[in-house]
Amino acid sequence: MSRLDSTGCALALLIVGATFLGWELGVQFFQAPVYILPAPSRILATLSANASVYALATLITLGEAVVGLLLGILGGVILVSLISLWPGLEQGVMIVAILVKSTPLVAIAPLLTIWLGFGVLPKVVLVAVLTFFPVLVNMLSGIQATEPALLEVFRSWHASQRELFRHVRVPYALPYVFAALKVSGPLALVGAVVAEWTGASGGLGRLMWLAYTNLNLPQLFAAVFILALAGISLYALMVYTERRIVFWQHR
Amino acid sequence: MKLKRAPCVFWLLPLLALAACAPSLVPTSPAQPARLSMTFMAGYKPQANLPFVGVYLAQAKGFFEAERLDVTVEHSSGRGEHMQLLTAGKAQVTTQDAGVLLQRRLDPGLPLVSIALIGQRGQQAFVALASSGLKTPQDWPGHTIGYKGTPPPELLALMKANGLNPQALSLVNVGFDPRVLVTRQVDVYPVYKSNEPYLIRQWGYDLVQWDAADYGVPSLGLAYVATEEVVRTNPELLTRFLRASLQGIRYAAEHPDEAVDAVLQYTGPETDRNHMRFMLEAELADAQTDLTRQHGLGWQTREQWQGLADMLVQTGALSKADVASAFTTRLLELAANQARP
Amino acid sequence: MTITIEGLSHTFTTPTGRVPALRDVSLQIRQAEFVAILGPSGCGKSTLLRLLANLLRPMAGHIALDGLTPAQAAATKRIGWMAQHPALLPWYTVRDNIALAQRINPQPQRAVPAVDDLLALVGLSDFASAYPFTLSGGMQQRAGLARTLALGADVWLMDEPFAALDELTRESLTLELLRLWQTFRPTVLWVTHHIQETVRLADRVVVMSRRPGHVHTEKAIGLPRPRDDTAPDFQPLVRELRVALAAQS
Repeated sequence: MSRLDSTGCALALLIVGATFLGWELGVQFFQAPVYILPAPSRILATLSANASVYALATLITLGEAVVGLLLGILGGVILVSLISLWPGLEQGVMIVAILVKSTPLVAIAPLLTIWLGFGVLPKVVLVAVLTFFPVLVNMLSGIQATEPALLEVFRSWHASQRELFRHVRVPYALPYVFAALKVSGPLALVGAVVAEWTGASGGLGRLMWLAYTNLNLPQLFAAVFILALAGISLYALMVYTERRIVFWQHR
Repeated sequence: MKLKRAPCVFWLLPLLALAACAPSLVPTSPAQPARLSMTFMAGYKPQANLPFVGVYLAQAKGFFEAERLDVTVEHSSGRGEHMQLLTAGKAQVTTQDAGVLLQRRLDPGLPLVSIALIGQRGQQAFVALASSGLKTPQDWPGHTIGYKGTPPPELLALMKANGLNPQALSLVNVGFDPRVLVTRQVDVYPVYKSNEPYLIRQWGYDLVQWDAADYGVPSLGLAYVATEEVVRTNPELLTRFLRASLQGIRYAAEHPDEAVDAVLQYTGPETDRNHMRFMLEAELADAQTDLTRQHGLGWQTREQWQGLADMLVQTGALSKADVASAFTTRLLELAANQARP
Repeated sequence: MTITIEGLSHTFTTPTGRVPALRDVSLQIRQAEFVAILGPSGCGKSTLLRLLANLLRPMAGHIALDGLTPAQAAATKRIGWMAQHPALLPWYTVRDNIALAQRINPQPQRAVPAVDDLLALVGLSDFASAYPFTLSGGMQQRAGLARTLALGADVWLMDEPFAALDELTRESLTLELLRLWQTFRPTVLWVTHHIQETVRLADRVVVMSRRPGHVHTEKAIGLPRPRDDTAPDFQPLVRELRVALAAQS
């Protein structure tokens, strides 16, 4: 297993390395102007020259993304709990959830600032709005897909809805929740960046926006690199947590 | 660790006690006006737009402090949310292009008022690569003209002034991206005089530039903007703000290097100092006219606004030209009359 | 608990049509009687247990458990039902699975078997902290059996609980199970298709017919306990039941 992982890792590094090398050589060969496509070496130079600026921005954006994601998960879990205890609520909740979900981010981002001010709160809320939906939908399908044999055992015990929820439905839905989190984790970063893009005093989104309006592409790509890395890290964190928590799925 | 720190805490205690007593030892002057606080939201990202620079310097040089004014500086992404936030009361002063201010007053009816017109001439201009061979707007037919979002009224007015039929030109929406000019996807690109020309020249291209104002098209630049309500209910706040930020602008004119330093405090990393200097100089040049030399920076007249409004009506950008309540000079007068030593 | 079943019928509706499972089943089961139900596959034995455990509603006929309907009886938490597949919760250890059954089915008025005793009884003491997915099928079934016995129920509704076990384990478990039965005196309905097992365990064997199932033969097993497979009376009973069963297969 670990051996397989290390070959996979080496291969992944090789592919990434080759991509970067090709990119670098392509830029050199075609003499692409930096405002059209900067070379990776140039991007990394920008990154290291402004390391502390990027570190602070990353911290802000990651903070917003993580807090927002936690809020989104909490929201999704609460809604699913309500639905599974009072199934009559399902349609109403889903309609409202889809309504919230289908509102374009760029439309609500400025509104959130108007309602919640200039600080990090509107960003966190935007991330939560963006991430709760996958959690809601996946966890709900998990709950509804619970193995009938397990349900029968609990019914034969005349267990209460609460006992059923706690000991069977929720644990059964956990793998589904993690499937959602693998989507929502990287999505949370996108949400935070979009929220910052529409006006913020800090964070990677703001750096990207400034870079874009100055057409400073190395600076823009440096932020993209960090985001990619952060996205991969969040995903890996989800996979790791999943293996720890949903251990029975990986027998 | 804990033991080592303890003496420091003991040293701090008397200091804290002293600090707590301190205010009572200072005699308070009854003439001192109350502290006021407000939010200024720049209408775009941090850069050397003159109204922004005035605020940055007023903050950095203590001009706001001298007015006993606490100012929080925010920046808009330039999608119009600063006007929304202003009308929602989240900010008290913002900046806006005079033409757009007139448009937003009519549709959707935002109660915006220009309290000082910093840009006495608009920054809207059009450029083409020198290598394109285009010399005057007369040469435009048969070429592709870019615009950002909606065709600027100045473009239509400029065409009209040159006797060009808009139908004969191919207009395309290109957004903010001057790269489309150097990659020759468009032949004429709309610019802010103080911004993109510097970038494009920096990439090594020579430009021909047409300034709408040179063709008799009336245009105005950025103004400090407040809502009708704040103008009515809190003139004191706005007067203090204007006094300090106009002082900031005058300071910038005398110390441009220091002004650029102040701008760089707000911009992101790797901001091109020379670009900011270029922007500052360009906007300083357009802020000072015979009118402002006579009445002071930011002065505005009925004639200026009416001229702009008429142009906008003629080009279809505005349905009616009603400028009487779009601006006020009352606060400028108050700021000038009550000047503090 | 006495169980009265009268004229019980049940039909399943499937996408391809209606499948009758039970037809006019009537049975009387005494308090603390051990009844084995023998029948060919698909004769509705499992359906009968599910009806008694209130997991299905009968379409016709009548069930009384100490005079209560299955729903009322279920609410008293005195029913112990065990499915053919043990359906342990994969996220809990073997011990927690068994303890959870007791927690959800508390029996404040009566003594119930201790979890550790049950683990010893089914031979899983060393696997108390193991998760079900690390166990073999037979071990999982033993854990499921322990979980059902842990309920301390008045009636055991057992659906082929020994199906996945090897012969030696069956024999040793048989003894332990009977000891437990004699201590707690529950009424037992034991579904199986293993003839030998019925003669080892039951007071009475009910042979059911092919689908739709109904009672074909009832045979009282009068052998004294403990029973011995090699006793002279044992094999003739097995043979007699085999003949009755063969007529239904």
